[in-house]
Amino acid sequence: MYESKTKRWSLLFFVLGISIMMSSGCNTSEAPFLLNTVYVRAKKNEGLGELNAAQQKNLADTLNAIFGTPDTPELPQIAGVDFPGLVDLEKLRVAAGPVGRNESGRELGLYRKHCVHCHGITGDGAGPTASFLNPYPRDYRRGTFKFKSTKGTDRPTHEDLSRILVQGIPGTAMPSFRILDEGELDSLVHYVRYLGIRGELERRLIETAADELEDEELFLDLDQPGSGIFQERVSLIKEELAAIVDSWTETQVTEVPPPPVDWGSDASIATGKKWFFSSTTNCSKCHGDTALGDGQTNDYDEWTKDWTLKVNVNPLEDLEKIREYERLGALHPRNARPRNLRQGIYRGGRRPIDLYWRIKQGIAGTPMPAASSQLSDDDIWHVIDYVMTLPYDALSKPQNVPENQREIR
Amino acid sequence: MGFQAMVNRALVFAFALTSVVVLSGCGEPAPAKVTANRANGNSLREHFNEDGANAGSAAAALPDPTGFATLVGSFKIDGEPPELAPLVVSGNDASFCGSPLNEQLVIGEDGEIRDILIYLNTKIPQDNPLWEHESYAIDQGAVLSGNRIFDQKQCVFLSHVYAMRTGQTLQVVNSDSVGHNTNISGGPNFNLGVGATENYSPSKQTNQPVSIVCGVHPWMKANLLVRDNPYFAVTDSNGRFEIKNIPAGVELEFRVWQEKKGFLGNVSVSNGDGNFTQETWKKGRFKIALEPGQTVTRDVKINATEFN
Repeated sequence: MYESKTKRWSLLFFVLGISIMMSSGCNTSEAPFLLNTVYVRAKKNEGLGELNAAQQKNLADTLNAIFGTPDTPELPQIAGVDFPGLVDLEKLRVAAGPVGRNESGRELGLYRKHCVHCHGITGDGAGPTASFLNPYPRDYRRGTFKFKSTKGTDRPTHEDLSRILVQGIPGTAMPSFRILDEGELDSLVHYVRYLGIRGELERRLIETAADELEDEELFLDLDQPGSGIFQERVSLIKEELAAIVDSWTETQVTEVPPPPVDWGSDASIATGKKWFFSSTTNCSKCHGDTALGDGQTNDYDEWTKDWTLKVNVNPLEDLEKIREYERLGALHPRNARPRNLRQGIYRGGRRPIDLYWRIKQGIAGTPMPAASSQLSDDDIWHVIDYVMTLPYDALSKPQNVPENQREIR
Repeated sequence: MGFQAMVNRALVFAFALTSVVVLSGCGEPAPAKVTANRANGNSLREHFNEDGANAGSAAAALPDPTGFATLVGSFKIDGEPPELAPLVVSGNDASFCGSPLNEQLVIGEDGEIRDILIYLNTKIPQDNPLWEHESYAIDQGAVLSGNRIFDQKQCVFLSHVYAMRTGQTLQVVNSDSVGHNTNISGGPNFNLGVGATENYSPSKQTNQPVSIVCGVHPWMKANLLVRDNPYFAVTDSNGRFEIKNIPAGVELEFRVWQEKKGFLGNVSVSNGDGNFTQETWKKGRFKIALEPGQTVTRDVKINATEFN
């Protein structure tokens, strides 16, 4: 009896010990930004250079020198580079770092409290919860955002980003952060832009490094800081940053004209329906003849294409390469799904003005195109008229299919 | 079985399970994450604003050209080209679209390679008559028309590889009775109705070709290169190219790209006399200095295995 009791206790301790070891992890050092190794691999698959471990590390060091760390973000200390109105260091420091409060009781570490689980410490959209979500969280590192008031692939305005924070994105895991005060929302917008600008520069540096570096050459070599090549590379960083900053500061809201006088009438809806099925708009080609989002569903978004189709890697055929990407942290490629317009859930907002922007200028980073120039502003309003009737149209009733089976393909 | 024994068993089971989890790990080890070393970052930052003694020297080192010359040539494949996977045509328009060919690598009867892209890689001064021959003036800011339109017919982009200058306007045309949704990477993504034309005026050059696809017909693909200078060419169905009035007397670097291969590497080159010598172009780059008034030939043979 005594013996078996000892055995039992020792076993219990053993199990407990191992559990504690596993849950505590190996260390609790500062959270670092991770290099975009998926993009490094994409450049290799594209036939450009394969960056070795030292070269990759050097790029991470270079980005650290420019942008600091997640705990202590910095603005580039390069003469002539500034982020007017885009990234304010004081605001960054409210959003960055570990969760806590400062002396005056102000909450700090907002990004890590509210965002990091899904969007990741680097803003790569690959936080711990990401692989369980559909759609995946946004990866900020292209600077591409979907729901905005500016045209094409142009950058979003400050209001666009804060609107998403306040409203959330219906139909996705992105909640509303209306509970935060204005200053807090503001600092998060600055932090998202910071991660976006950082990520975009990182992509350009990886492109340049993969294309131009010799076999063992470092992008910025600490052993020869005074050399011409070092300063040329700093100038390159400066140029690239300037171009990225310009793209954020020069972006413009698309003015929305008032709807035509017959807007909301049956005639207007009928005109919209005609356009919906026309080969000028191609709406029904992807959203489907029934508008259930079941037309062309084999395409991918640009975030995925960057490391697949654009570098000749087919997500359905080159499975070995896809697996390599996934081991580097990429999320498994999923098709871009056209929206089911009969659900009445509009991710970018359900106001008519939101739908106008979606149709007029397309949805950046997705197969959703801008409206054809053959469509007048009034015609766009008619299409909106038709689309807004779809959730109330008879077809939206279940067709003898149980609710939970309709979405499965 | 007594309660004690059950607890014992449960414990042993838990122990075994934990050991299995700990020992097996998660399959293959994931590659190490690449992160920065803060000290290195700080040291780099200290040198950001130093005056490099030779900074900008590479750009300044280009001597003025002494005239203009022409580069012509051809590309051929040596050996049996690889089989290309047929395109997967699906969707509502499948019967209209038929079975378009995979144009990743198009080879002529005698091995001529179509759609190889040759372009100047050296960064040259802009708006400088020494660097840009007057014959290109008419081309500047032009709306590309005639056989330079970018048309799609029978669900095929009629120009599979297309090169243009910044400031020019590309007319994207649809000659099909079905709609297309033309998506230019990094540029606009627009819907094209029947007979419709949309204009595309890129303001920024691309270092490499970007892809043009159709959202409605995902098998459709073309490639577009945009450059700040006019010195580029795409080989025709005879595998031939010609770049006129290239700045001469200066060593310039060109790059050569093919869709299936990417940047060309191992090639055999002849100057037109039929004697081929092996060359290795690093990521598609080769250098050449032309004499004013000269027409230089570069015939290139590429081993078929390069395209596997």
